[in-house]
Amino acid sequence: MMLSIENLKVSYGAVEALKGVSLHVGQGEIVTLIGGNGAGKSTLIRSIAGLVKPASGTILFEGRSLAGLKAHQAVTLGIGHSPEGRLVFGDQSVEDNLRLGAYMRRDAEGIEADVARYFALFPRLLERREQMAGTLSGGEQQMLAIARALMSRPKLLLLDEPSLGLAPLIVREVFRVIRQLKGEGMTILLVEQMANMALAVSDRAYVIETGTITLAGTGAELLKDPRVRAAYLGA
Amino acid sequence: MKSLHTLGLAAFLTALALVPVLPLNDFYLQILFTIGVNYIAAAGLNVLVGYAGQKSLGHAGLFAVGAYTVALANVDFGISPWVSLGLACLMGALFGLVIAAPSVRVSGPSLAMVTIGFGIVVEKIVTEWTDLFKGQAGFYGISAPSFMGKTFTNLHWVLFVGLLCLATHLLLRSLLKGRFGRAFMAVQLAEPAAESVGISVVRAKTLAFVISAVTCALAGGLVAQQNQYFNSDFITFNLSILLLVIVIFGGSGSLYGPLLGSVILTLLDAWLARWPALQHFTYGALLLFSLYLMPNGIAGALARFFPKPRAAEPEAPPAPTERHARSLNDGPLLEVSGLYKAYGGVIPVREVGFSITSGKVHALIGPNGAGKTTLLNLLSGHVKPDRGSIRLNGQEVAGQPAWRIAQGGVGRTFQNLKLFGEMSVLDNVLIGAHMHVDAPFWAALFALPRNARAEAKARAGAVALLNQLGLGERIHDAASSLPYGLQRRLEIARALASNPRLLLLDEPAAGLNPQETHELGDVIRRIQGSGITVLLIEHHMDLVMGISDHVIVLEYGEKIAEGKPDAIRRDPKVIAAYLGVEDDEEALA
Repeated sequence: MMLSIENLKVSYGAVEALKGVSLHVGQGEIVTLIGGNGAGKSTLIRSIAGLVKPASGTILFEGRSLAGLKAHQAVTLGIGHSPEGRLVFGDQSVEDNLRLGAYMRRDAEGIEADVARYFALFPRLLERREQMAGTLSGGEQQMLAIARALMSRPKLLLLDEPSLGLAPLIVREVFRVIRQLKGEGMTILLVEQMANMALAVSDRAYVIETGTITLAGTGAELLKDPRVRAAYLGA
Repeated sequence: MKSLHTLGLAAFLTALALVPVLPLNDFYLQILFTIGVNYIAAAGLNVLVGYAGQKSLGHAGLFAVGAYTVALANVDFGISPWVSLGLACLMGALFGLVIAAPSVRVSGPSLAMVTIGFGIVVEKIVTEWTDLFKGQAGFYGISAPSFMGKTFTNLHWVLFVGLLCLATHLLLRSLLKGRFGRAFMAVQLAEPAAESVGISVVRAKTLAFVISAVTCALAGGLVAQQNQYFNSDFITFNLSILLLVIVIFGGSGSLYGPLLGSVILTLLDAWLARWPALQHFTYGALLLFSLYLMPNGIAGALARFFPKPRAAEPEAPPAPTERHARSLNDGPLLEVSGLYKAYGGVIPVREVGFSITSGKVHALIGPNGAGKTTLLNLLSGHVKPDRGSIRLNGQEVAGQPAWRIAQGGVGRTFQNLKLFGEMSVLDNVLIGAHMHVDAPFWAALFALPRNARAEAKARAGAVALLNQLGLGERIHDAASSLPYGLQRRLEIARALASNPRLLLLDEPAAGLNPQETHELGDVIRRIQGSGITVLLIEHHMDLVMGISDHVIVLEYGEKIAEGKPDAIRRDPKVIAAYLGVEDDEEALA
């Protein structure tokens, strides 16, 4: 098992954001979390990435507990995180942002190949290679955040709302990449509001509501589930 | 909180009444006087540092302005002590305007450097220009004020300064609890957002500088008079630091921070005076460690033990949401032509023209990086166009500052949220209503009934608005504690509170799931129904096609198409540049 979470609880002050969540992600799987705003999706992602300290519960990554690990240590173990809301290094060029994503890697050739690969994936970024990341448009920053997370060649990729602010054409492009990465054996935990597209590429998915997992199943099952359709697919 | 305030006032007045009967010698009276003077200076500086967020390390210069005004007026021109004190405040205000000027252009560490420069210049002038300022020799025989024929003794000074402290506190308390305090915080936390609701950042910063300058000058004048002697040795960089430290150590941004800071640091100073070698060392060490342990100062640390009681909001009568009296002519509300903006080689907007019809929902779509947000920033005045025309209701507004365009009736939200994160949801909306809180400066300063009425009305309006938008449960929560989607909705609420004619929404549905996006569509329709014209940037095509009357498409800074949603959806250029062709797996979904 790549990732297994048992009874995870997280609180912000008096507010309990996660009330005992258990889930697992197998090697090579794409697993999607869907849920409304404030359900706790981002909190869950952030606890795995080491950015939020859980109150109780365990997170095992390849059988190893992540308790007490800092965010940079999680990256070393192979957890890549593309945070919600485009946190790029504004005063660095687009290319330097990408290379910073590979900070922990030592394979120079592999890094060059990946830089070329992600520029090919997001031609907009190639056009703006020398530009400071802070001057990119919102959507371009989002592309950069995803590409930077991929540059660490993570074993487990945490994608928090990759489609946020992207043009429809690019959203489809991003999902194409997600499918391609899966083909290469990467494991992905995805949080996505475009539940239709996310469920279509997922092996399995969980529905999370006010800090609790209320539904689980394969992507195809949840796509057909009337409760999911009513609450999240706008159908 | 209210009872604590009354209790504090009673305790302070009792203590002041006890001063004459206690056996205090001149040494202790001097300490009390110094505490009072430090408080007066620091209370004003707190408005600048803690509220408006402008760090100054040059306020000794303003202290000097007050002291030398009193000395020159009284010794050289024979003006009475009372009048000289008034002149000191006036001169302080003038110099406040001068030192505020650079804050418009620079901020943070650079501003601190500029203010250090100001302090040094003043220090050098009073030291070296001995003909006028008498340098180290100083002014002798500065008269103290007299009351009922008797010149002030040290005891009188303590009582007088005590009352001045009380007055300073009450005036600033009233000012800071209302729209001005919120405007200062807004400027500190997110300047573009403050401008978007009609707050002039320049004016707010200038006002804060002037307030701090007046209190520092008053403190300087008081010291010169009480001491009856004043020379250039008083005006040192250390004094500037001391004043700033009182504010920060006490707790900047808290009404009681400067009080705690001036009491503790003045007492410590007096106690350590016995061991001069230890004095500065202890000072530094104390600061180093206390700020490490208490980043928000003593007031911040104490606040943890006194959780803010959450005042129950009065059941707001559904405030009649008055809207701009607008002529419902169907003409263009906004006409844009030849708009152009370049950043070096990047040209996000080139020669764009379109018009926005009153009462309609318009959408702006296009690939990422097409220049949509830049265009919105040009319309709201947050970015100045290189050339081109923007006519709002027939009036040319291109190049005007954002706050003025906001006052002209343009509200907006931000793509990368710019909420006042540490402030409550309610305060965020109240800042949105800033222009419509009918409380002028003097009414706010002197807590006139008009101020209370305007505040109560604004609160009721804000609560009603938040209830309408489904945020009623969370009005006391910090804005940053809301989940992403609700933060977006709060941005809309803040913009609506400014009562706009034209509302610009930058990706309002980002981070919302399809169901929430659907609800947002209803919200936007209701906004349109209340007579507000909407221009939104969005990538959710269901939303765009569902609610828009008119769609404008940008690519590489140029308008490539505009028209009704159905026509846009079929436009081959738009499909190629933006929409793409729907895949099989989506048809399946």
